[in-house]
Amino acid sequence: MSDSNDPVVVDHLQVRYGRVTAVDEVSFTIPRSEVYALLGRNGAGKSSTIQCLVGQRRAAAGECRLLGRDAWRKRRKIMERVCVVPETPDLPPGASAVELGRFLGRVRPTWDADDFNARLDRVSVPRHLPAQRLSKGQRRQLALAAALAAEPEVLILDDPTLGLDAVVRRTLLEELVGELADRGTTILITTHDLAGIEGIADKVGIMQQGRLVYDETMEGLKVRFRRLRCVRGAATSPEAIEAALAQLEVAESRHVGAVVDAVVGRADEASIAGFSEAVDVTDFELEALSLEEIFVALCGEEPGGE
Amino acid sequence: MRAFTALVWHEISERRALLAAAAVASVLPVLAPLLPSTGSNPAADVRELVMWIMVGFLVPLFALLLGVSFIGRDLSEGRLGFYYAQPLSGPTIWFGKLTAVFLLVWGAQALIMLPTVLLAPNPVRLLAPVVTTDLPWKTGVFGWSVAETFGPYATLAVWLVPLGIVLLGHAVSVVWRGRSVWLVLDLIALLVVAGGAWMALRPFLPQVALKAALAGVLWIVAWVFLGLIAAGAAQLTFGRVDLRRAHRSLSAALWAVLAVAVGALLGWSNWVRSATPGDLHRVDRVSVASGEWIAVSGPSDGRLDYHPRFILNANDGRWVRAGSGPQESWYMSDIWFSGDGRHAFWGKRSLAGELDLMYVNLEEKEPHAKGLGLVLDGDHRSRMDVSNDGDRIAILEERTIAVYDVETGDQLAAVVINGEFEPDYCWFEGPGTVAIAASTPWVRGQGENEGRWTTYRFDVTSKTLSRGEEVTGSRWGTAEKLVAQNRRRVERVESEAGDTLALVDAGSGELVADLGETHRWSWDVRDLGDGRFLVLRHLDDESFLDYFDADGIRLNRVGYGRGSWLRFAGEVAPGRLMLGAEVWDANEREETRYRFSIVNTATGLAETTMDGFYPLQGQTWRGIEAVGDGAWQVGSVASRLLQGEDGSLHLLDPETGTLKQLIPAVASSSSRVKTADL
Repeated sequence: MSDSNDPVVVDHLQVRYGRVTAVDEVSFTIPRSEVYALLGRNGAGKSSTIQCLVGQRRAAAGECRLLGRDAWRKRRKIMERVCVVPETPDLPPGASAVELGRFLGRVRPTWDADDFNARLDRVSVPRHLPAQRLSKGQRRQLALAAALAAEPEVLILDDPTLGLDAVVRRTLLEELVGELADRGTTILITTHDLAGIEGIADKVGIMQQGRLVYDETMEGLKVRFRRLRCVRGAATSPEAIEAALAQLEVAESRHVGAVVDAVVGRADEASIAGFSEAVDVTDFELEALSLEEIFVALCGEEPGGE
Repeated sequence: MRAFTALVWHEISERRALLAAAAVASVLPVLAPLLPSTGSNPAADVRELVMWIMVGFLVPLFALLLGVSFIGRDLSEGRLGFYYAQPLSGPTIWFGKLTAVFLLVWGAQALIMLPTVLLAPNPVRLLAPVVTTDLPWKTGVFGWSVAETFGPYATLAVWLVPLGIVLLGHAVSVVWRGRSVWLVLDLIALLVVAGGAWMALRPFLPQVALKAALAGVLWIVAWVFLGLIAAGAAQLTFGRVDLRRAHRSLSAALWAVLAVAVGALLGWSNWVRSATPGDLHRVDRVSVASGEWIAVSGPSDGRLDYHPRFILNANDGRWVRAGSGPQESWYMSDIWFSGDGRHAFWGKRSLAGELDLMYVNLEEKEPHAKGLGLVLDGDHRSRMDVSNDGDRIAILEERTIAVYDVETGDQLAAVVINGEFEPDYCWFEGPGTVAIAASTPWVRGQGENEGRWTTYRFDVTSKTLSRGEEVTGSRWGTAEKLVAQNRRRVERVESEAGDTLALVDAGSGELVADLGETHRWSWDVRDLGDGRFLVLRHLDDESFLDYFDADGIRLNRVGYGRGSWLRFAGEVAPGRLMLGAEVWDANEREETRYRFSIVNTATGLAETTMDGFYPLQGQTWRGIEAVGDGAWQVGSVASRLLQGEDGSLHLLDPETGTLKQLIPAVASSSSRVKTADL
């Protein structure tokens, strides 16, 4: 499945913690300049996947390649062109923004100090306070500024909006992705801010219990999943409706009296026509869904936030 | 390199608060002399003492805090990923952080010391030989000899121990935070490695081969140091942010390195102890008895102060390993031979300082050492003796004399001696009789070798003890036996005109003959058994051999010229006496050469002379020891042993006039002598 030209390739990845399999046979690729949103509930295996992808954790099986190189073996070389912002900011606690910039300026070949300073100015992060004395949001802003100032070819963001308020979150995502898209940066992002990522991501992967259950374009996912509403005829039992819905790859269904409310994964014309012929339903409606609605339908309850 | 230095300075900068703390601490020694309780002590001493207290307390503390946190805390708190998210290799992260921590520890130490050093009268001495100075408190704490001996090590330790603490702290921190089943494996590996090191070094301790033991300890310490460094690099390279994997990588690397190091140490220890007679590069000590067997020991290449010892058959070359020989003759017991030369005994020192008696029956076709199951609590060989036939052994322990059967180890008889003084010596007078002597303490002014003796006889068969006569005797150096003096003897007579030799009646002390002038120290007499005797003396830088009849009438004189010291050796064949000579150039006394001569006792003339060898018999300072009367019999092995100037050992064959090489002295190949025709 992998195209060696894609900057991000995850191929049959497995991650284990002792006897627990955290990531199981996960495969996806991200073509150049695309934004890939890796979604999943807490504990679905997203962070483990990212740690393997950036060469920080060794896979039990499978392979991760970044920019055409093996992520475990060639991590140091890869990291010259890749930046990572982890779920929890891991900045050295005693280092201030200035010291961090000085250090990164010496180890990163593409470091843009002016850009770093400009970003710090924009987000009002104190430059001389050690990281441990910054707020969680400030630390995240600092980590993002550091990642972006390195002008990476691939940017990996593990829930970058975690801990940020709604306004900053939205602004950040729009600015971030808009700017990076112009640069042609390839982005892998995990987030629980599904509304924020909806207009940004080109492709979506959804992980459940360590497995990648959906790997589709954002557009394809939204075309595929629809909300179906109808009223069950008097002679039709709920069981008959469920049986028919199963043909539409139902992700979620509710029966409120005679009203049927379902999210289905096959909403093409032929399938819907087949459904309405198979059972006696009236007031038939099909609605487009937001990414969040699709995610909730697929993963059960509301995605857990921090 | 740029990334490495960037990381080093980044880490130092992040932890600069520690240097600030050290700077504050450095002021305390300067202020200490101002305290009223310091009394009249010199201010420099007070500052120095307080400074070392600060260094001794704070620097290890800093090292420990840095060690447990500089990687381990980042790892457990999920911050190590920051470094892996940069283009830094695992080894760069490890060595960069480690270097920074080392520099911080040293920097903190230097900062604490700085004001005191600047104010010290001798700053260099304060920085380098930490405990070798003569300040009273140092010698009081460490002891003068300890301070002298271990001063250089202490200097090293002061600067290196904190680094060791950093490394150990890091390893323990990762192992503890990992808390996996590997922790159990770590403990097992630790026991195995420590056990291996102990097995390797333990044999050296009772043998007092301290240099060898210390070399082993330093080897292990160095490899622990290197192993911890390598383990950290492996952890950061292969474990990265995965704590359990980091623990596994660290442990695997550490124990692999230490297993190799301990394996090498065991191999080296085994190699040291498996020397053969051919490995000796010098023969330092030789023991002989009647018969063909001799005991030799000495240093050998690469074995430091472990001096392998062997019992060697001078005729057929068979040998038995007999542990390690003494480095100091006063400390270790040597080899005991039975008078007939058929049995050899030695003490194998235990860690408790006791001597386990070992024994070998030299009559066996392939002699091998075995333990007797008897223990001596001291190393005075005078307090034990072996019967002439080697079947019995007598041991004097405090006031108890006990006799044992060598083959069975059974005690045959024992008795407590209730005399005025504790007995000093015992010896077999016959297979069933042991003589015991107790001496009065030395009395100053009575003469160095004078003493009063009480003797006892212990009959083994009847188990009875009888008190013998009280005699005034001479004590001959470390020889154990009382020497009967009932014949004529030669004495040196001091006078204002100079020293002379006199033949006197041993009973009455009357002068029989004046034998002429002599050097005060350099003279010797050899009784030829029929009343005639030979006298060696050194006079006016010349050496002479004089040949006298029983009445002191000189029959012959042989001059050996200027620049030589003579001494008697053995009688290599009937009527042929060996003489040893140290010869030097009259102008260059340092270039001493050795020579031996064979003297015809009938004529008193030297018939054969050869350079480069000296006879061992008579060379008391070179450590040859004779056991039993047979050792000095005419033609005995003892009388024919010669040592080359290179330390090699040779046996003279008086029939063929050749030297047979017994020990080649391997380290001195340039001057190796194999055989020589007389």
